[in-house]
Formats: sequence, structure tokens, C-alpha cells
Amino acid sequence: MSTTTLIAPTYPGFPPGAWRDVNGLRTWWTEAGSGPPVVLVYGGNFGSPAFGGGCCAMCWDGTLQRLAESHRVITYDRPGNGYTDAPQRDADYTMEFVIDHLIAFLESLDVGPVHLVGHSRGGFIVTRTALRRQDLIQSLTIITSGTLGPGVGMNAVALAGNPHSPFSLEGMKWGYKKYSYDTTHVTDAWVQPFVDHMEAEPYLKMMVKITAGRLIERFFIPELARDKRETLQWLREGRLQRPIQIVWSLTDATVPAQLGYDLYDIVARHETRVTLSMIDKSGHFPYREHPQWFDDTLTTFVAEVEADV
Amino acid sequence: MSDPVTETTVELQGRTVRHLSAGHGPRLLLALHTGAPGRSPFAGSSDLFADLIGRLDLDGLRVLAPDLPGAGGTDLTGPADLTTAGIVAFAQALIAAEQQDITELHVLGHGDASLAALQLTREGAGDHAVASCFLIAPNAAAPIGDSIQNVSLLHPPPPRWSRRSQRWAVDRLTYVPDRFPAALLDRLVANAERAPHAAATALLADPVKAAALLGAQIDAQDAFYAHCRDVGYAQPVTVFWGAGDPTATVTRGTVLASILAGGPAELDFQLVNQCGHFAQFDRPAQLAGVLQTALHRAAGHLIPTT
Repeated sequence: MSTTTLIAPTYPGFPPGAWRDVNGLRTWWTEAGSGPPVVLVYGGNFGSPAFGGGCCAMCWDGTLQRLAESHRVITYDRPGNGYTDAPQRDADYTMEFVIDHLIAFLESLDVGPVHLVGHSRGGFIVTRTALRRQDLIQSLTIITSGTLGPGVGMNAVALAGNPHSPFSLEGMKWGYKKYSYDTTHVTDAWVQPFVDHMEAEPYLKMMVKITAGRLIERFFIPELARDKRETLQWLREGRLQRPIQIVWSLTDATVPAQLGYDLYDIVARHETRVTLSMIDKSGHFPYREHPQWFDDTLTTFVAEVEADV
Repeated sequence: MSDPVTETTVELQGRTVRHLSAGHGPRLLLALHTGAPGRSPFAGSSDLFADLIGRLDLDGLRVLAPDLPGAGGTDLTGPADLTTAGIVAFAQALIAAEQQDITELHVLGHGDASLAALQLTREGAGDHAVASCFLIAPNAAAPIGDSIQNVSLLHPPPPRWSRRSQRWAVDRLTYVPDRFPAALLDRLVANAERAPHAAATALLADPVKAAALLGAQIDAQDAFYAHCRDVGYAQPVTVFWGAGDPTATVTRGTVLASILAGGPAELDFQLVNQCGHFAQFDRPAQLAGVLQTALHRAAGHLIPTT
């Protein structure tokens, strides 16, 4: 593990970025603030935005800056997203590879156990990371994760029939608006960095590789389905033994509220410190649609966990 | 009660097509069988419908049940034949080749063929609009994304599609295994030894081509969900969902029902206890009755082709 000193780019409004070699991938990351360490993991995955691709740390714009007023907030671009290198091997286009990478990233930070926060598919990533390496985790916050939810997600229905190219600004905005109850947070300024990445050569090269090899259908989907079954089994067995905050939305067209209730039911059978925070009139991005509520909810939870220590 | 079921082989667009048919009249029910050639652990064909067809009142109704490309006695011409779009194109060509006048076209799709039945219902066939759609265990139409791995058919006994292996599969897919007819199992075993099945398995030995079929299914689902969300089906749709079907949970069925229910026409969702994937053997009389009722209800219900 080594940290390089080359100048790294960053996102509009973000603190300076930096590079870090993580499991052989040049990995972009940034941090701001001081206090309890909070690591933010966004949603999505590899490949086409039609299947959740094209995300990056810009998802946390606003959240990162506000939380940094009272926490040490760290975020990064996952493999094949944003400024971070794509996996080299076909068989590494899996969620498990992303989880291996996050574990290595957390180890490299060397900041002690962190408060790990994951949204959407990131909620699955942080939960499985916590299950595999509880020594790295102080608490877990899972935000509207249909991927982790023990039921049928509605992404494919809510996001069907994009009339634009999913790789375009209009196509990305169409998708994020479908995700949202209040669409005013879906601005050009927020979405443009996603599109910039997708138009850059590394992303285009990765898309050729993914498409030619059918990597999403061959590796990502079947292995995620297998790992999801195993992850829910681990949760039902009570293996997750850290304070857990589940943040969910009542009006998310992609992730039904029932999945949040069912997830709570599974983890609360074993772990005493579990809270389900459900927000009304919110879509898939409660931290963007209701930023003050989300900041208060997360900050209070982290403070309670820290006070326990 | 019913005309005998006839087995016929025809040439259609340069390929051999085998189908079962029964009855006469201007009303046509096109039945698309379950079983994805080269992927499912059983070698399905139209024979899966023979018993069901025999239970129907065929007054004024003709039932046509083809072996789908790569299954039974119908040739496979390429990988596109195995996609939803390929099955729809095949079905449309089959209807266009029908010699008799068709005043009403009804579509039945079982399991793997359910997405094709739903697409055919949207598109129609030439000048013929589809008047109603009947789905048995439509697991292929329920959302896939980020779902939990289904392990029910994960480890068929080798060699695949042998009698022992297919017996294992139908045992797991029926709620009461002994109800699956032995003679039909013999037919499935014979299907696996025919050239179309061999062509499908050879094609799917390439993992990239096999994965492409999942991509095509996701694309077909995308079109289906967008239609349900933004337009909705104008034709009545009936779903016959076995609560004991190991290929899809009841929750997936109820989610599919909620997706289908948004359209202007009626959705009839039948959740049937102690019924597996092969409802025609677990609940033969009930299935035939619901299908017959749906056909009667849709009689005269014609939608202009869009």
C-alpha cells in the first residue's frame, strides 16, 4: 500500500483529491474535516447507467461538505468509476471485487474503526464489508438499498424505457429524476461530472470490454445474486455485530418501503442497537432530497455510538 | 368434449417447425411452452400442453402450440431465435402462415415464454391484434435486478437432460412429482436427443453467447416495464401463479401483478396453493377452467393494432 503525491483532480466543490494504490488499482479519494471518521460509499456499479453504472463520489456532493463540519469525512471512487482505475481481469467485474477493494482501502487509511455509510448498491457493499471485517467498522449506516433488501427491487420498472441515451446528460438526468420524489436536486451541475467520466477514454475502453465480454451478465449479476443470498443468510444468523442505522424512504419508486422494514426485522433480531429511520416524501436519495434531516439523523447516530465508547 | 390433438411438421421460412394443434374455428389460441432450450434442465416442447388442450372446450376455437426454436422438432437458425424478440418473430411468422381466417387471436405464455407472450400481446401479428393474454407461472417477466440467487435447479444430476436428470428437474418443478406423466418425461428425453436441442446446447457452450441471452431478457423486460408503467395493457391479462413454484417466489408474483395492474384492461391474478411450475399437472382442472373462462370473457374483445 502506498500513497502517491501526484496531483489528483477533484469534483466541483470537493476538497482536493488524492491517489492511493489499493489492490493494484490507482484509486481516487478525498477527505475533509476532523472528528469521528465517516466513510461514504455511493451506489451503482460498473457499466451502463441503464444498469446502475456511471456513478462516482460526486453522489455525495453537499453531504460530504456538511458532515465535514463535525466529522472526518472520507470518500472515494470505486473500481471502474470516476477517477479510479477499472479492474483488469474480466472475472473481477463483480461486487466482491469492489468489496475486497473497499476493505483494502479502509486498511490503508489506518484511522481505526470507521463509521461506514453506504447508499443503494453501496448499502450492500458496506454491509458485506462489515460482515467480513468487523474489526474495521465502528457502526454501519445503510441507505435505501434494494440490493441488500430482502425482496424484489423495482429499479428495472421505475427506470425502464429511457428515451435518451443513458450515457448522455439528458439520459442521466431522466434516470435520476425517476429515482426521485422531489426532482429539484437533479441539476446539470450535479450530473455533468458523471457524464464527463463516461465520455472519457478510460470509461469508453471499459465499456468496450464489458460489452464484448458480456461481463455484467456473465459475472456481475450471477455473483451478486449468489452473494446476496449468502449475505442475508449471514445477517439472519446474527453475524453483524455493530450498531446499525437503516435509512429508508417511504416514497422511493425503486426500493419499496417494505424492504426497509424487512431488513430491519432481520438485523434487529440479533443486534440491540438498530434504528430504522424512515422519511416520507422522499425518493432514492434521501440525503439529497432531505439533506438536513439526513445530516441530523446520521450525526445523532454517530454521536450516540461515539458516546458509548 | 374435445377434438384430438394433432402433431404436424411444416416448413416455415426455411426451417422445420413442429406443432400441436386441435379444434377448428376463427378463434385462435397460440400457446408458447416453457423451457429455455439449452438452459432449462428439462427439454420442453409443445407436448407440455397436450393434456391442457385436451381439457378445453374447442367450440369455434383452434389451439396452436408450436415447439419453439431449438426445442422439440423446430430448428434453431441462430442465437437470436432464443431471445424474446426471436420467439415473437417466430410466432408472428407462424400466425401469418395460418391458412384459416382468424377473427380473434389469444396468446398463452408459460414460464420462460411469458415475456414473449406479453410482447406479442403488445405488438400483435400482422393485421391481427391480440385479444387476451394468459400467463402460467410467468417467472421470466418478474424483475431480475439484484434478486437473490434461486438455487432450486442449481445442481441437476449429470449427464444433463438424461432421463434421470430431467426426472430430477420435473420432480422439483411440480408440487406433486408423481402427477407429471411418465410418457411426457419420455418425450422430453427424446427432445434432448434431437438436432434442435443439440444446436441450442452447442451454441450456449460459448459463455459470452449464453450471457447475451440474459442481456436480451433484460432488454425485453425493459420494454415490458416501460409499457406497463407508461401505457398499460389494453387487453385482459390473466396470471395463473403457483404458490409452490420453486422458480419464483410468491412475492415476485405479487410484484408482477402490481406491475401489470396499471393498465386500462383488467388483470386477473390467480395465486394457487399447492401448485408448482407445471400447473397443467398440479392443478389440471382448475387451470383449464380459468383459461376457458378467460377466453370466454375476452370473446369479441378486439383491440386495433397500433
